Formats: sequence, C-alpha cells, structure tokens
Amino acid sequence: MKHAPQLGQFEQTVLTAILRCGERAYGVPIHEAVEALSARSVSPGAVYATLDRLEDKALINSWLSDPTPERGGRARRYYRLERDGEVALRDSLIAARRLWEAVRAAGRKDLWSAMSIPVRP
Amino acid sequence: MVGDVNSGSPLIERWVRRLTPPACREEVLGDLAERCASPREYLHDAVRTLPFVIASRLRRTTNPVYVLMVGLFLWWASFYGSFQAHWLVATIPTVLILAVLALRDAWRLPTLERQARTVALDVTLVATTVLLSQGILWWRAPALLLNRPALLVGFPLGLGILYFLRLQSPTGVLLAGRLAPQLSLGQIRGEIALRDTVIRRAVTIELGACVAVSAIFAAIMLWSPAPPIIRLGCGLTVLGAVFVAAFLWRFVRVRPIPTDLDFGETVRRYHIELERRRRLSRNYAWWYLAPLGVGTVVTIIGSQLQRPGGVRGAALSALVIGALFGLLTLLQLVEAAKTQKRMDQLALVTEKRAGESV
Repeated sequence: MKHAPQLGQFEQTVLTAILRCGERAYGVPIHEAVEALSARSVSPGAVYATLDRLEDKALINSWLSDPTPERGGRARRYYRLERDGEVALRDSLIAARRLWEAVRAAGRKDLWSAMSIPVRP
Repeated sequence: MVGDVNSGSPLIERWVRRLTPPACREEVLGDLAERCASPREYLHDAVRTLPFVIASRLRRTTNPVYVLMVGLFLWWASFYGSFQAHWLVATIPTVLILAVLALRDAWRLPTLERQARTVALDVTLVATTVLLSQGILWWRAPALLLNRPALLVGFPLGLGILYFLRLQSPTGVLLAGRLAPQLSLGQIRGEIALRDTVIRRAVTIELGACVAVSAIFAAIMLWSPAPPIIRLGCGLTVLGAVFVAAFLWRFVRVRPIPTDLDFGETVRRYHIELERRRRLSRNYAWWYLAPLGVGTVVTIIGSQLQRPGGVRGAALSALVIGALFGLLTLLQLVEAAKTQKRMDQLALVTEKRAGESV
C-alpha cells in the first residue's frame, strides 16, 4: 500500500472541502466548505496558503478557467485531488478512525459520543 | 454563493491589486469580487487574505539556501563584515538587500521576458535602499555607517556580481511547477527552449567570469609587488579558471535537441539531457569549486596573514569560504534532486494531440 505525506488537521479539512465541492472546487466554495467542516470562521488567506502547500506537495492540481463577468472579468482557479492526495486523505481517515475506536474501547462514552454532533451543511 | 458585486471602490481595488502578487492575482481578486457585497466587506476580506497570500508566495519563491549564500557573500565580501566596527554595520544593508530581492521575486512572474531589464531594476532598487538606509543611519546612528572602502569599493562590486548572479539564476523559471500528465510536442519543446536559454546565458556569464578572473589574477601575479604566497594563490586561481572555462566549453554547454524529432524521440533526448545536467550538478564540487577554490583560499588567507594579527582574519575567512562552498554544493544537490523529479515526471508523460483535452 502506498503511503503519502502526513497531513495536518487543516490540510485534511481543505482536501475534504475540495472533494466535497467536486466540479465546483475553486476559492469561494472551498472556503465555504472549510468553514462548514471546521465549524468556525476561517480566513480565506489561510485556505489559499494551504492550497499552495498542498499543490507543492503534489497532492492537488490546479488550473485557471476562462474569465467570468460576475467576478469582474477574472478567472477562477479550480482544484482537483491528485492520486497522492486521495491516498494521504485515506491514511488520515484511517488514523482518525483508529483513534476514535481506541477512545471507544477505553469506555469514555462522554468523549466518543461527541462524534454524533452534526456537521453544518 | 455567486454575487455580481465587486469592491465598489476603484481605489480599494487598485491597492488590493497592487498588494497581491501577480502569480495569484487573478483568482484572489476574482474570489474577493465574487464573495463581497460592499466596500467594507471587500476591505475586511482583503485584510484577512493578503498577509497569507504574500507569505505563501514568499515561501514559494524564496530558496533559503540561496538567500543564505547571497547574504553571506554580501556580508563578508561586499560590506567587509569582518572589518567593520560592529557586526551590525554590515548586517543592516545585507538584510535590507535580501528583503528587497525576496519581495521582488514574490511579485515576479516566472518568465524570461526582459530579464536583463528586470535584473537591472532589482539592482537599482537594492542600491537605492542601501543608500537611503545609509542616509538615515548618518542622521540617526552614525556609528552604524559602513566604512568608506565598503561603500565605495565593496558595495559597487557586490552590486555588479549580484546583477550577474540574478541574471544567471532567474527565480522560478526553470522546472516551474509539475509537468502535466499529457503534453503536446509544442509544450515540451517550449520547456526545452526555455531551459536551453537559461543554461546558455549562465554558461556565457561563467565563461566571461573565468576570462575576467584569469586576466585580473594573471596581472596581479605577473606585475604586482605582492608577497610570494599571494602570487602563488593568483597563479593557482588562473589555472583553476582556465580549467573551469575549458570544462564549461567542453561539457556544460547546451547540446541542442533537433526540432524536427517526433514526440517520443524529443522526450527521450530531453531525458538524456536532464540526466547529464543532474550528473553535472551532483559533481559540481569537483569540476567547479575545487579547481577555483584552491587558488582563492590561498590568495585570501595569504593576504589576511600579511596583516598584523591576521590569524583571526584568516581563520574567519577560511570559515566563511568553507560555508559559501558548502552552501553552493548544497544548492547544486537540491538542483540535482529537482532534475531527478522532473525526469520521473517526464517518464510518465504521454502525448496530447491537437483537440484532445486532459
């Protein structure tokens, strides 16, 4: 099994946001998805910086679209997960699940029941 | 959320545009225009976006090893750091220069267009910044002013060397970004042509430098009344420079890939050329630093030992030269690793034919 670089928590959130946005994965929807997933206000700049870092690690790929009038004639930069990005996200999910199961096995219901808190749409 | 509103204030928009590095200007300004419904919101979002975007761009365009090497060179060889009254005297202009160059790199697009003019502007900005800072120091803290030899000799010479250094290694142009999995023949030829231009220019500058070094050091060796150790060092430097020039001419010059080859053959030849470059980078210490270094070390340390109490100066010089050579070697090893990565990407590339989308 191939192992990709380890991800920080915010990197995991941004990768998941790209996945969630699908074909519409550019700055604005990604930022909205990151805020929804992390359930807090996030600076758009932090999202751009993380996108740059993920691209440098070759976990995502980006390209510019044609300019659109609703953006003052500016183009959108779209993002897509690369194969390594999918592997890195999968590894992070496996690690998170392992932690969750360990907490559950320790019998701390007060901690693992927090998993039932719904994510903002 | 897709809106049709922008900042509503051309003044704010103009300033935000100027403060956004050109490489990410398109998407950042477009997202701001799409996201914000009022000038206040636009400004608020811009303030929360720009520092991150600028920091990220600086991280992407700054090579810490290169910055350290240029900084050390400027501090020691240009501002005579070890001969100033206080270490801060040479550190202030060095840090200012590095900051100006880092910001210039962050605001530059990876292109070779009008490169000579751009680099001339870099050097002019650097000179202006240092002279302005000297003016302020003259007014507020005269003890931190550079001494006359550093300001009148070392600094102009350093500016000249900086000009050629930046012309030789244009930031972010070579091997910029990842190769797409599918490329057209035109795209691959474009990358090869860009690479050839950069290397051809770098080799020409190096050859010019070898000729200049040989001439200057030969003149010192033959006609100056310098002590024998310095004349010996000069002689060794001339020999080293001649060897490096011959090596550059024989092995480092660009070997053009014919433009009438098909995609597969072009990629294969490019791969061979990259492998050759990778080996040259890995062996840089042997064919460049060692031949030039021996004479330089003997000359510099020899001249330091002629001064009263010169042992300390000689030891410091040996330390700085060692550090400079170490950083140069490290830079070339990083370059070799980048080239290897490009070769790995190239091995997976397939041809994109006209009308085909990725």
